[in-house]
Amino acid sequence: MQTDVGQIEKAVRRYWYEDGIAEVVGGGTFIILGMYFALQEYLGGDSLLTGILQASMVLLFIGGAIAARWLISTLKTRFTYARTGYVEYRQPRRSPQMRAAIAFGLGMVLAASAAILVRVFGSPDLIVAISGVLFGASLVATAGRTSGLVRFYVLGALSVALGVLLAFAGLPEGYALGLLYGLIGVAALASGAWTLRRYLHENPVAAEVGDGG
Amino acid sequence: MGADLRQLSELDRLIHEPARLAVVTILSMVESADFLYLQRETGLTKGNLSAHLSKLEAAGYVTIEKVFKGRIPLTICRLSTEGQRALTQYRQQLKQFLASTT
Repeated sequence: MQTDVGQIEKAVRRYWYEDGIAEVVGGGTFIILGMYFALQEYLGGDSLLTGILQASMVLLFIGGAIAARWLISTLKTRFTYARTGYVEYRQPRRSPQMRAAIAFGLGMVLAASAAILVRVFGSPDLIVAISGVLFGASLVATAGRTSGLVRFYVLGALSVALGVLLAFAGLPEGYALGLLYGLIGVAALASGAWTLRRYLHENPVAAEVGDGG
Repeated sequence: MGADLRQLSELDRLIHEPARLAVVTILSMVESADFLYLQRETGLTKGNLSAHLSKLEAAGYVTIEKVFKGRIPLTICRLSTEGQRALTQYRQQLKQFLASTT
């Protein structure tokens, strides 16, 4: 029996990532984001559709986050809870309105920061490098540090490397950003799918699901 | 008996037992967890875990509820406010004892 309290705490935090579902959904979301940026570049700056796409960026981020959360919950209900059990993690005690306001505020800050960076440095490629470094660092600081799983450090390093490489690739901004998000998405999707496959193989559905309490 | 040893004897025995300490520690980190998860993480048998949960429930440290998530029946366990307080107090007492003996 596991009695090391530190190990128990680590295992509880790691459980969220154990089935790879969060990565599969996150990877899919990133691929869609990549397509969004590439489509903007493809349509050109003067297109009406580009204007609509740019205006709906914040909505896309918030909607994407809500949809991803719902999908993760649905997939975990379908695959995880019957196999290795259900855990409800603590949520920050904030109202839905407050959460939406925070998400909106963060989206605005990100959009404004990106615009300021372009204006100050005059090089859109810098955004690609910063995006890669920021995402890589945040992935390591959140999922990597919380779970201690090596694959998140690898994904973080890949994000940094891709950001720097694509910044120097000489591609138009939209394509470079699209490729960055798309490739990170593909890597996360592949890593998550491999983890999910192994998880399903190692954890067949229990005979008497959740019973015994 | 010395003050240090007396401190040790005052530890909450319900929580001090390793299996129950594991259960309570897990529940203190989450909103709730089901029987299957607790069994998997602690490595206890169904009967053993059931017995420990019953003791914790009887003491008011844990609440147990049977629900359905989709079509899956779940036995959901939650640490009560009293249970959280007891665990915090247990940790403080143990820390104080260890500090006084080193």
